Amino acid sequence: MRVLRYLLILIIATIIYAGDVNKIKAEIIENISMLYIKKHPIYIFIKSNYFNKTKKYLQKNYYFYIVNNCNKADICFVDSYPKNIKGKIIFLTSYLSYLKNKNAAGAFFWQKGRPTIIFNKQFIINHHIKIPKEYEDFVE
Amino acid sequence: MNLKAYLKKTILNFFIIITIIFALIFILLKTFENEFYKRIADIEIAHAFNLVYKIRQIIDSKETEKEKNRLLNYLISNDVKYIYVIKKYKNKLRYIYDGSPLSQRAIYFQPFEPVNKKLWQKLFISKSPVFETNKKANGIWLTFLYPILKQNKIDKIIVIDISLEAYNKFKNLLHLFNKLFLIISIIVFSIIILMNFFMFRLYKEQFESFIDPLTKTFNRKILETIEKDNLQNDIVAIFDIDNFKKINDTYGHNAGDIVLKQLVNIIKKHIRDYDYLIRYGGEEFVLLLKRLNKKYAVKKIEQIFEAVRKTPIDIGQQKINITISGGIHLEPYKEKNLLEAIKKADQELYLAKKNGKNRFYIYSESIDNKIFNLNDIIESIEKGNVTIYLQPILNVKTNKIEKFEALARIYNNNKIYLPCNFINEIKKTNIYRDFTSIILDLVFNCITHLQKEISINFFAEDFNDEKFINIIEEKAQKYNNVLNYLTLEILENEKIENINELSEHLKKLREKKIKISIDDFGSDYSNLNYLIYIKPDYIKIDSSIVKFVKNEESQKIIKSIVLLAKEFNAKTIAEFVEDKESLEILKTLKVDYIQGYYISKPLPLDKIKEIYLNNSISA
Repeated sequence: MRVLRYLLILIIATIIYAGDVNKIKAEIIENISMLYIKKHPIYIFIKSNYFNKTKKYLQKNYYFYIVNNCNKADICFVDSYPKNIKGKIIFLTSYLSYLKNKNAAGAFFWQKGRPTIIFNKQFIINHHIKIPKEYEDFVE
Repeated sequence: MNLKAYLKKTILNFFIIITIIFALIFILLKTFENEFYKRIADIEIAHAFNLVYKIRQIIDSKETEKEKNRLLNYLISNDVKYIYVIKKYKNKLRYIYDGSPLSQRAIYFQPFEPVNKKLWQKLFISKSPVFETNKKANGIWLTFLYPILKQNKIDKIIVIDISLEAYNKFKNLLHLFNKLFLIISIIVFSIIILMNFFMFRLYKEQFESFIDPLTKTFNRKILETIEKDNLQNDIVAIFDIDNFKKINDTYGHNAGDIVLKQLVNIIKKHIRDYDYLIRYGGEEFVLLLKRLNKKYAVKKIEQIFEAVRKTPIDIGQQKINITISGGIHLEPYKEKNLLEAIKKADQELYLAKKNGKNRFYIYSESIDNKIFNLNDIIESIEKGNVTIYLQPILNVKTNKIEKFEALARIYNNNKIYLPCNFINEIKKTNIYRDFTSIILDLVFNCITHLQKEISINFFAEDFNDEKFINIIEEKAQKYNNVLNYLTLEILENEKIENINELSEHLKKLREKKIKISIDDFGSDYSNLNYLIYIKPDYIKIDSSIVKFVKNEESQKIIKSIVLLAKEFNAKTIAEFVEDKESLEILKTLKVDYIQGYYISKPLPLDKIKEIYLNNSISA
C-alpha cells in the first residue's frame, strides 16, 4: 500500500510539476508588474508563447486583470515591441527584441529552463522607478 | 484465550507484520532509488567530463563564434540538453558561446541568471567542477559547471545541462524494478493473508472442539490444554446447580437446558474474556479465574453466588430461582496438575452440598491429611484397574451357596487397595461416581455368569444422591433382565439424613426387583425405625455381634434380630463366621445365611466359577 501511495505521489508530483513552471512565471510577472505599477488593479496584456499559460494564474489574483489589448493595459509582456504604442510599460519576452528596442521597460524571458529578467536602467531613471536592492542585479 | 481474543491478536499481528514488511520494502526501495540515482548521476558526470575536453578544444580553437556555437551544437544529444559557456563580466554572468539550437540559442553577451545561486557560489569559491541534480527544473535533471581557470581565476564556465529524458530513461528502468518489487510484495502479502486465514480456520476448528454445544462454554477437553505452569495467581472453582434433577423432573429437560444456559449468562457477566468457564459435567461447571488476587477472587465468587440466587430464570411457563454450591481452590498451582486442583475443589463442593447446599467452601491444604496416595487410586479408577472379589454366602437350610457379596478391589503398581483404604476419600469426588459405575458393571457381569444373587455395599447417603440414583437407573435399564439378582446393601456407618427421601428412592429400586439389605445391623448408627423406611429384604448382622456368638449375650441379640427380621419379612445373614462351632450356633439361632472365612474367603470370579459352578454351588 505504501509503495502504491509512493508511486501515486510521484505521478501527482509529475502532473503538478507541469503546472508549476507557469505558476512561477506568473509570480514573476506579478512581481515585475507591482514594481512598475503602484495602483490596483493592474491591467496586464500578455502576448507571448512563453507566457500564455500564465494567464490562468494571474486571473485568480484579484490584484490583476488580463486584458486583450495593449492599449488597455498598464503593462504588457510581448514577443516584439508593439507599434503605435506610447507611454506603456513594455516588457519584451525575447532578448533579441529587447536589444532592438531601447524604449522597452525591460525583458523577461525563459531560456534553457531558467528565467532571465532585465530591467532597463534608462527606463527606470526616466520613470523614477524605485527598484529594491534584491532586484538590482537585474538592472542594466 | 477465546476466539474473539485470538482474532484480535491475529489481526494485530497481521497488521504489525504487514506494516513491518511494507516499511522494509519502502526503506529498501528508497535506499535503492537513492543509490541508483547517485550511480546514474556519476555516469552522467563522467560523460560531462568527456564533453568538457571536447568543448575546451572547440572554444580554444580559432574558429568564429558562430562556428564554435555550431560545433558545440554537434555535442548536443538526447541526454545533453544544453551546452554553453558563461563568462563573468563586471559581476554579471553572460553567455559567450551557446551550442543550443538556433531557436533557443542565447545571444552573445546576453545576461545569464543562475537559478541555483548557491551552486554558482560554490563554484566560485572552490574553483573546481560542481554539479547539482534537480528533477524539478524545466526539462533539466543535472547541471554540471566546469570552471576554466586563467591565472588561478575563473575565466569562463562551461555549463552542461543533462536532460530529464536521460533521467527518465533510468527512471523507467527503476519503475520496472519497483513494479517487480510491488508484485513480489503483493505475493508475500497474499501468502501472509492466506496463512493467517488458514491458521485462523485451524484455530477455529480446534477452538470449536473445546466448546460445549449447549452452553457455549468450554468443555472439559480444554483442561488438557491448560498447563500447570500457567496457573500461578489463578483460582479454580467448581460449581453445581442445587437440585438440578428436580428441575429436570418437574419442568422437563428443556427447562433444564434453559437453566444451564441462563446460569452461564449470569456467570459470564462476572468474569473476563480470558477467564475459563468450563462445563465439567451435566450441571457442573469449573471456573478458572486467571491472574486474580485471592481476596478479590473470593469476592467475585460471592458476587456470582449472589447473582445466581437473585436472578430468576424464565423457563417458559414460569420463573424459577436456583442456587448453586461450590468448592474453591485458591492455589491450584501447588497441585500436580489442574485436574488435581479441581478434584480438591470438588471435595469442597461435596461438603458444601452435604452441609445444606447454596454455599461454597474453600479448600485448605492443612486439612488435606491423606494417608495414602489418592492420585494413584484416582488414576487406577480412570484406567479401569478395578475388580471385584466375591465372597460366598451359605443358605443354612439348603446348605448351598446361594448368594455372594461383591467386594471391590483396586490395583495399582502391584498394590491392591481395599475399599476401606480409599472409599472415604473418593466419595467426596466425582471419581466416586465413575467408580460406582464400574463396580456395578462388574457386578452385573458376575450375575450374568453365575445367575446368582450378588450383593454390593453402598453408603446410605448415596441413595440420596441424585447422580448415584441416575447411575443405578442407567444400569437398571442396561441389565433389566437380571435385576432380580442384585442386592444393594446399605451401610449404616453414618446417620442417615433425609430418611424419607431415601425411602422413596428405595421404593423405586424395589419396583425394579432390586433387593435391599441393611448392612452392619446392630451397631453404630443402627436405628430400628430404619426397618420401617428401608423395608429390607435382608438384614446383615454386624460382625461385632457375630464375633462373640459363643457368648450368651450375643446369642440373645442375634436371636432377637432374627425374630425382628421375620416380623419384617426379612432374611438374616451372619457375617464373619470363622469356625464350625460358630456356624452350628448360628444354625440353632435360625439365622438364614452364613458368610465368613469358614465358608470361603473372597475370591475372584474365575475361582468362584471353578469351585462352585462345577460343584452345584454347595458348601
